[in-house]
Amino acid sequence: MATNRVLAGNRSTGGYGLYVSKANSNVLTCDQKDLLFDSRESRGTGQVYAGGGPINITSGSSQNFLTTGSKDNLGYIPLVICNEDYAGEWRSHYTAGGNIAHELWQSRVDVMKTTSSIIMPIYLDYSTGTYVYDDRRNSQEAYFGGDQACTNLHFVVLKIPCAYGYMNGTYF
Amino acid sequence: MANRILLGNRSTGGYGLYVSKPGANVLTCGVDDLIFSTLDSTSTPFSAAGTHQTVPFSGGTGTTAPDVVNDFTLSGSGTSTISFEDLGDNVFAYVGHPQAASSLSSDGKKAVTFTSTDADSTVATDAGVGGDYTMTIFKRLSSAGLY
Repeated sequence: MATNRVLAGNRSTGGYGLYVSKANSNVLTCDQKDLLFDSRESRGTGQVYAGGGPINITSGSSQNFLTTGSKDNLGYIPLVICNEDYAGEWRSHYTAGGNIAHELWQSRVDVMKTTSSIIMPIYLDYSTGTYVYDDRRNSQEAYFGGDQACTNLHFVVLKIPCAYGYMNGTYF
Repeated sequence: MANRILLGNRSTGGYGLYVSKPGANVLTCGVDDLIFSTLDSTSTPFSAAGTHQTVPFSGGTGTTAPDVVNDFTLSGSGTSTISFEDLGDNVFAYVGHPQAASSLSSDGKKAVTFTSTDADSTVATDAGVGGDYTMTIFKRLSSAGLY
């Protein structure tokens, strides 16, 4: 027998609203964890606002994810899930300054800066006091993360705030 | 109590199904206050392209829960074809690796690239010294470079 999947009305747990359950879960009685959509929740969980790929972002450039459709700026920095070639860790060591051993390690080389409109590859450099550079590592910067251009990037922009000061009821 | 659900003609957006945040009037609120809408990427104003989906590697039928995480191991420069359930084209693989107590012990990198990705499989190739990895598959919603 088919299972009740969609309810627009009064649910015994939750009251009036719009509910959609997972396959094989009865929307009338299932646990909230088995609901794909629940209008009681104020967040736009799981809504994809933008995305793309595979694309390459050249060193020093960024990708504006509001450029297609008629997208407005969400007013907050959203959660962006990215994956590209060479996502992983990197380690190197060298000797300089009178046989002083230096060891460099980065847990992920695919670090990305996100604003409310763009994503941009960056690299980290402890040596100058600036620490974060709007750039992706290239051969010249190989000391600081290896030679990892941003290639074959796939990303999805979710309507979920992901920044200090924005992860509150005003924006969710 | 605010109007929360509209199935019909919205003054901004036209005919469709709309659900607003608690406290926001679905008839008049801004698009960013809609938690669900049938507006698509070509609509004005734009709301969302669709629902973010994870593609299971197995399960998801009957009483078997979907398994959406795959752990695998590659040797340096090794490859492996990884299969998942066919929920249609336009997917991409997302990978990470645990920060083990014994991480890289010498110069190198630990990373994976994916090629030949289609509706139900992808080829993982180690781009470094090998390691243990965890991956999942996401739907892309569109084949466009940007959407």
